[in-house]
Amino acid sequence: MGRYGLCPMTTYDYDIVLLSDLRYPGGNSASLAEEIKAQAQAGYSTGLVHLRAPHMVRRRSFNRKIMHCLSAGLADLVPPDRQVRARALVIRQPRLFTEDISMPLRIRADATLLVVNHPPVDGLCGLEPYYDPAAVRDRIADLFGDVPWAPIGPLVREALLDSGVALNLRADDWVNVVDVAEWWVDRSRFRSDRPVIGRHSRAHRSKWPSARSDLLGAYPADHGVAVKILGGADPAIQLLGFEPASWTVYPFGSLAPQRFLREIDFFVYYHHPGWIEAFGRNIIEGIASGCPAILPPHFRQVFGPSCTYAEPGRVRAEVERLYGDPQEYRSRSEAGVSYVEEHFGATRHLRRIRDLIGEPAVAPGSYRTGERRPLPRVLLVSCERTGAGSVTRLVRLAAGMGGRLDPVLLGPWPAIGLAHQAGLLCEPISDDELDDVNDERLVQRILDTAAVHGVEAIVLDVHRSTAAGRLAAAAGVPLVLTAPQSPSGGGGGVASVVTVRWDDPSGSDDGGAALRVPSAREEPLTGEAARRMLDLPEGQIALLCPGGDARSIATPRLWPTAQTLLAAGWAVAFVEPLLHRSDVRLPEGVIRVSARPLARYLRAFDVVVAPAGYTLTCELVAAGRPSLLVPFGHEGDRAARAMAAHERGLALAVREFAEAPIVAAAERLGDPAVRAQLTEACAGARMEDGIPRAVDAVERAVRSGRPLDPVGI
Amino acid sequence: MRSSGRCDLADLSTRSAYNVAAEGEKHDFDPAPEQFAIARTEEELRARLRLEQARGAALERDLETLRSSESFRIGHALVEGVQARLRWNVLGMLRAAGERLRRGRPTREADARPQARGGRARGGRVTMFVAWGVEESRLEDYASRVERLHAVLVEFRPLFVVDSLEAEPVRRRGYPIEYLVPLTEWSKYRPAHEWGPYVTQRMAEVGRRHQPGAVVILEGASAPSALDQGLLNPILLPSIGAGDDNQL
Repeated sequence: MGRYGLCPMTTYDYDIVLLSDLRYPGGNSASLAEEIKAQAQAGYSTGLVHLRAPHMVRRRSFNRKIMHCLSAGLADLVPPDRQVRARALVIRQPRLFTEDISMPLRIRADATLLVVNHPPVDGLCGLEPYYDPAAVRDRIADLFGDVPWAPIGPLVREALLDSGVALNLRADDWVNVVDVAEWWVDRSRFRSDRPVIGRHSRAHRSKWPSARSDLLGAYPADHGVAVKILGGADPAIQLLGFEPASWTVYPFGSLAPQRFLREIDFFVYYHHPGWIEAFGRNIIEGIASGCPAILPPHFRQVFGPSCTYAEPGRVRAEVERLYGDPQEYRSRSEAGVSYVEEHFGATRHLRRIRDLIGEPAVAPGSYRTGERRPLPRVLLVSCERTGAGSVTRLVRLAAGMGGRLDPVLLGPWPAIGLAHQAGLLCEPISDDELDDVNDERLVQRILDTAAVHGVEAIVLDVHRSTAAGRLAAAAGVPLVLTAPQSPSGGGGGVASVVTVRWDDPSGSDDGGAALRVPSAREEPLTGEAARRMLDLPEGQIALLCPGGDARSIATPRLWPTAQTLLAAGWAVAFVEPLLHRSDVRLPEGVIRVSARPLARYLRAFDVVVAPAGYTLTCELVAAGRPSLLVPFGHEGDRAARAMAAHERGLALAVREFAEAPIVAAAERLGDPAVRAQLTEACAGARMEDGIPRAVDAVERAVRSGRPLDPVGI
Repeated sequence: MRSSGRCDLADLSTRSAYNVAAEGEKHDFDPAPEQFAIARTEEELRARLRLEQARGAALERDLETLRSSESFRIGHALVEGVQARLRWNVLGMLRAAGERLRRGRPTREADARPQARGGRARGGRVTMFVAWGVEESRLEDYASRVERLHAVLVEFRPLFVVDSLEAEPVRRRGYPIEYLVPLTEWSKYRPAHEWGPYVTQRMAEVGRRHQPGAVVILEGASAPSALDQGLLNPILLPSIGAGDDNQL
């Protein structure tokens, strides 16, 4: 039986082989990439064969979209002279065959077709056609037999019919497809206090109207409407003789199209009357982003009811009408997106592939496609040099974002390991970036990460006012600062950004006010269960030393205390560092604890000797653990927090790190009555989960879209 | 015990360190405590010198092994490629710089390269060691080899590119690390096809920031090859990292 069970004698190398010139910079390669993605998603295997098109004489690399597909393993690159057996061979671009093929192509397929994405002639090609359909047909027939031609749209079909050459035309068009999720933008608000018209195309005269009146009709030059152009506008500026002040022109390739489409309200595309736009990939990308599109009437046969068709002189009136009726605007936006999904989405491509070769033989692999309506991405940044409290807070914040926002964490090594263990997408900040006194490298790293992930907001935890100030100025997306309330006062935010303040249980002086603490991701275990899981001895007072930072076990300053308490018959546990097992030899008898998250296991211990970090203090109060707060690590706030907690009766504390008072205080905690008193005080502290409020604040910032001219509907 | 005449370091290994005399003098020697200490120090230094000579010989052998390995040969070829491009593509780089200026993007200053901490504060060009798909135990081995090489060939600055957060062997040695989310990890959270743009942009950043003069691929067992995944494309062809736009 063959691999696919179709024919006992047939084995296939690939379900589908795509043959084209993989260097095309535009829509040809973009369409190939979309088809590869759709095929991978459905479980079809794809081989790519590169054939040089004779008219592509300039040396150039493969299109980046193709490279990315190869990098991600969505397709294999197959040498053109290799013998390949496939269920389907899809050739794209007739101009590959304007000359005889010099190398042997040894691709055999059960079904073959030629996707025709270019008309043989148009009004701009002059006397020389782009290709001679008859010659192309004959060359292909020599290689692969009688191959059906599949135009990508009615305009190309018409051009082929007009050529008068006898061609085996498929009945249906092989339209280009897009991944709508990759383009979709929330259109619940307008971009500015006036309509913003946009277009994305090459700065070639074929792509612009040839008459001045048409040009100004479609792209007004007054300030009533803003015009944004991606791809350059030299031909238009030449025609007008000036660049209108209300136009913003981005050079070709200077902005990602997705980013550009987020800046506009309407996609308006008018080109040279002599140009046959074979399809208009830029248009479906615009519609997929939710922009209502306004186009010349001849596009109706391609895009059907998804767009508004008008002569250039009617564009402005249509724009103003929709801008004045937000409900109608949203309705047009949604209708356009739905139309693109149905007619130009991945499912359309998969339907025609199924019609051609049937179902994929293997189940879909691990390939993950985008969500239909992707969540806004946010970057959560911790730049706390030591300790894991900041990353812990952000991990919990991320957990609270489920279904509303899509977080990625950036934090210091090794604390970022907590985020990784919690199943979050994360990246570390390197030590030298954190050590930079001017925060320049740190800020650059944050900005680079924000750009690479395409985030819509940045959340920065912990006070680094220099970094916060620089970020606020340069981020280009809303910045949210989160910071623990400082018991010693200060720690103010940066103007013009949203600040979320975690209330400090020890520092609060308003007696009985709600205390907000980041909630634990998992429910804490009961004391008995936690003890069992950690294998703690019975009948001894169990003491936990979480240490002062992420390398906690390497804190030998507590060793003498540990030895004294061990000698007194206590069970003493130190927390292992994150990510790796320490090779530090601890005092004999000390138990190593590596279980995470720590908050889940706190009830296993009778006593905790801890640094007075914000997050751990919150967790200890929430868990009602009798604690001795020892300010080491970040002496400033921690000393103040330890003293404040002591004054409120929530914990014992020492002012300085010295063995004698620590041992004395720890021994006080050996008294059950003292422990009971502390536990009772902690139970009296009202602890409110601050995560939902923080998530609300971040979501509001994202929705506001600042600093993108936040004028809402 | 008596001795006379000059004593050089070479003698120390075979003669008693107690019997040291000043140059040109012949006299009975009763070592003072400070002279004793000096002699002992010299003896210790001699012993260390022998040890270093032995380590040097071992490192030469390691270096030879590394040079003859496939990883090094691939890396060396990559470096040659990068250098050739740098030589011949000056005009292209100028054009790219002009383009950046026109677009108004922030440029990075040449001195924005990270300053090394501790042992990394030496000069020399950056050598990028790509530990792709390398598990922690293997990374320990590689980091230790690089450390030894670094001791010998001091005029280079190691940079590690890793795809695992378990990179303590490198961090412990104070070498800079750049982490890239591997495809398998990425695919848990994001569409796989977005990994290519991600890794391209990240590697372009790494290239701009550290400006590696050499690339060495350290073989790992648990991931597809860095070359197959296009990891080094932005290093070989920097313009790839300049953007990922859909060109119409």
